[in-house]
Amino acid sequence: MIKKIWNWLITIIKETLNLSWTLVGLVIATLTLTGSAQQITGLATIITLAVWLLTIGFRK
Amino acid sequence: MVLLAPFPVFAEEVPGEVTINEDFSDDTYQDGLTVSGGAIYCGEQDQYGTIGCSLGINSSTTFEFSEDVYEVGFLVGAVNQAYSVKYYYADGTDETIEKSGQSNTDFSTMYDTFYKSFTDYNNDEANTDKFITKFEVNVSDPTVFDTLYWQYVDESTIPTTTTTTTSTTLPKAEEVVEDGITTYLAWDENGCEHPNNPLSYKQYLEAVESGNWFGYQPGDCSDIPDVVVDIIEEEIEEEIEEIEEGPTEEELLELERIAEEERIAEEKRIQAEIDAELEALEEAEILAELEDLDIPEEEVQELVDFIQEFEDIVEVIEIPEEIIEIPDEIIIIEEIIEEVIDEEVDEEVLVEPIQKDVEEKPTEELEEIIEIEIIEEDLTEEEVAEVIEEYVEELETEEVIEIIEEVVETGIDNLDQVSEEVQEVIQAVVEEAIEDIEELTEEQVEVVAEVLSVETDDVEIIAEQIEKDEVIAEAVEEYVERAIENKDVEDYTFSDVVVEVQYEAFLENPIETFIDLDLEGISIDNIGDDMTSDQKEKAQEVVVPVILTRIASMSAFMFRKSI
Repeated sequence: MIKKIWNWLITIIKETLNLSWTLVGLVIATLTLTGSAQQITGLATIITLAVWLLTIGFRK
Repeated sequence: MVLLAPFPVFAEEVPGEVTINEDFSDDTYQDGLTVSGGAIYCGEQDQYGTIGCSLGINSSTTFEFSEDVYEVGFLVGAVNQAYSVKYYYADGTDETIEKSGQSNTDFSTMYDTFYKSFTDYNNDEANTDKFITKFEVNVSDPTVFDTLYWQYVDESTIPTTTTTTTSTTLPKAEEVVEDGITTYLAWDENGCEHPNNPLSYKQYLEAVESGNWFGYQPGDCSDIPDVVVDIIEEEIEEEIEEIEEGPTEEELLELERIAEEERIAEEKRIQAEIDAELEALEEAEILAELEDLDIPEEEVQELVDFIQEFEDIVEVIEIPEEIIEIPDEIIIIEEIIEEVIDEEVDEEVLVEPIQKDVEEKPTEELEEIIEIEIIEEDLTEEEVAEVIEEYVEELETEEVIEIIEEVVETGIDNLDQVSEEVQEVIQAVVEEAIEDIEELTEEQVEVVAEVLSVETDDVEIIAEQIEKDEVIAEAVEEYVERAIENKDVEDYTFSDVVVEVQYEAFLENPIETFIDLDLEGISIDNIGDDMTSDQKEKAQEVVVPVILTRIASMSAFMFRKSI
């Protein structure tokens, strides 16, 4: 069980690293926005990243 | 504007007249009024010309009367889009008044008043009585409706008048209490009016009892007519009405327009006089400088004209980049001057005073305007901040704008030449101006917008966001300081300060920036409405390349994989 979780952690770190440039861009975009647009963009970034990481197995 | 407001007329102009006021303080309306829609709105009390709560409507709404109403007045505010008001009359006709959207630069004047009266028309016996059965307010965006009143005649309250002799129909004067309401008229037997007309009821009875005065007497002050008791005389009533109502809306607007034209003409005349005097003075000064030089008269005049023209250009130049270019231009001028005067003019005589004026003028004037008390060196930072805060709080709105205008004239890039205390005062003044945006005129808002390097409409957005967004509040607080620090950066605006503050907050606490969300009040329709246009442009410059880069990298990946 612990090994499974460890492997999954390694996988999501890899996937996140793959998305580095995109995430940098989205962070910059979020910090450039203000008000409601910033809130929505920030939230959408987090939710999409979470969905992306949670569906690694499904997408493979 | 107070004169234009549809204040109800309380004096009884017509016998039996009833005035009903509906203030929309709750959803129980006055008897005789039926409203087709809307709801009581207490969210923005005493805004848009309303008093207390108002009726909120956002679509076509009908106000119907059960009585024969001949006069209505009301207020419509906070309308952004074009709208109309349609009156329906008892004779089957109707009338529509089209209105354009109201300016939202100042909420206290963002409303229109309406007044429709057939009192005079109906009082003319030649006319058929005309009444307002209902009216319709056609709007397409959230609107406030308030201060409605209407008038009609309640026949049951009209005292019975007879054509018999006064002694048999009227009470004795001594039995009547003086009420001070002067609406009665008396004539003598020849049809001449009583010198004290209009009279109160008691005065009228006393006059009639004297036997010398009567009710209405037809004739031209020479006939001997029958005695007729007539309480209200039309012409006097009209005069009273005019006095009570004051000038009409059109008359007031015309008077305001004429006054504005006269003011502008006077300003132009004074400015022209000042310009002429300055020109003469400049010419005299230049002539004095060239007096000692041996130059032909024609060339001297040419030289004077040229120098004056050059000084005008220098006065107009306010952008520091161009100021940096001035020395090059001066060298060119020197060369020209040298040619003209056959190498006899000393460069310093012509060049240095001009250069000195350009560099010293702006900040000197700014420091003169900001007459802050001398801050002693041994004061702590807190004490200095306190002194500055007190100074700014005491400033009138006009003084605040004067300082900002001077900052604009000086150029925010040149503010590094003023003392740190003056910079802090300017910062506090800018903050003060944004906080009190509702008190500023459109022109004053433009000045504030110029300082922040944003559009005029954006100033209002910034003022609203200060209360909701800490980043914007901090950006406003630090704008002047950062603008001075970044004076060499091209097109450095308020949006750049916002981004800087956000990055600093992100570096300080990256997680909080993303999880500190407040989604209350956010809807798909208004996303981005709370961003300034400059901020939107900057965001586009970032977001679009991010998306394109992502697409490009994915394409490259797919291409590599297929190989």
